[in-house]
Amino acid sequence: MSDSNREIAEIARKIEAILFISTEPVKVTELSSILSVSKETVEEALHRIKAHYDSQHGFTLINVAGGWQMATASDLCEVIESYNSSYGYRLRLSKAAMETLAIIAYKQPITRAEIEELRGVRSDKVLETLLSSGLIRVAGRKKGTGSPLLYRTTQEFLEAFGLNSLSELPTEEELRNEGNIS
Amino acid sequence: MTVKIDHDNFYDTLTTLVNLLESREIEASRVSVSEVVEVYADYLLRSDKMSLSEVAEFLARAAALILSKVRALFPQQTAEADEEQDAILVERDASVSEALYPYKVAAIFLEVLHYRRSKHYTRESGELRPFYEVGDLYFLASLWWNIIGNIAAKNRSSQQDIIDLMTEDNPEETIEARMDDIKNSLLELKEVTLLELLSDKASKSFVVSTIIALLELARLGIIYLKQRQQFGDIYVGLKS
Repeated sequence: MSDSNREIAEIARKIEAILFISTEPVKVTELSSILSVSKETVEEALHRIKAHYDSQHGFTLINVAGGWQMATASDLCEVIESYNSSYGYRLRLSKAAMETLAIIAYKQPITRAEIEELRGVRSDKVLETLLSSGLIRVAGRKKGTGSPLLYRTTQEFLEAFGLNSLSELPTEEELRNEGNIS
Repeated sequence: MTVKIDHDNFYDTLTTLVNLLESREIEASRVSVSEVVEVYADYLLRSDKMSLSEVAEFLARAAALILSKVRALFPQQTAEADEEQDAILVERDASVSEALYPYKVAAIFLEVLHYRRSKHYTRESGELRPFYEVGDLYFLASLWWNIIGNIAAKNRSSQQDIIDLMTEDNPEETIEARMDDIKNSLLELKEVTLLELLSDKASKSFVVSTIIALLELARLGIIYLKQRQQFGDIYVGLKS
């Protein structure tokens, strides 16, 4: 093994240890600062770990909310649920909530009135659901009559949908060009 | 739970309370609306005059407060309960504007993403999401130490180093000292302008501490603040 390979392997071991204990995604910049190595080295080590896990382990690395996190392999979800039924509980969102969430994701920061104008129906209850599930947050007030509250998506939103950042969502143009939806 | 309402600044305090409720930083079910109304009635009795817009402002804020409380007292909204709004949505599907179309596609896209993500399980922290309650000093203190601990861990320094760094220039002391300076200046000069008070040392923190000190002195009834012409300088003097 070359010196460079040996160095990456050692960095990978350290990253593995950090990710093992972390309960939330860890950013590449954070790992790079903790381990005093370049971001490129961290990224190379992360890809090596992921490739290794994916080939022969029950877990993998996922790239969500701007960071990396250890997760169980997707094909093993039923095993996890039968081991502990509490893991079977997942956030369930109605069609209305999902639609409202999509509007907020694309139009943030946005007020309730603006959401209702787009949807054509009242959305207060749906906003309550999204707020209490932590997927959206109040992000100040809009200047103007009544100073209405503005809503934004949260870090939890990115984590819950496996997104690394909002830029991973298709553009509005791409969505418009999609086929008819049922 | 105790909510301290400052009588001299009733509307700002009520607005803050409503904002805290709306942003879920305190639980609406724990706020006594009747107590807030009683305090307002007391405030009304004490004030010499009351404009119609001030009463309207209070009614709007009180309505928001009651709405938050009613929502908090009813069972939490579930995904099933949202179906009601879905039903209306389906009825209106035919007339859904073109503008909504991309977001309906985006909702389906999100659903697929969520399904894929839900196949992966990650380590859970077991910590509950932060819960804030007005006057809950224990909770605020715990939150404070958590923040200090996290900063210390990130900077690889001790908690005491972080506290020393944060309290190096205690803003309260600065403002108190600035209040004394302003009072001393006014004893000598009787009246000064805001520009004179800010001259020479117009650093950001100096301006901030001067403004806060002036507001505090005015609130305590020690000084007056007058602007004799629109956009003109502000005159500061000791109240007789």
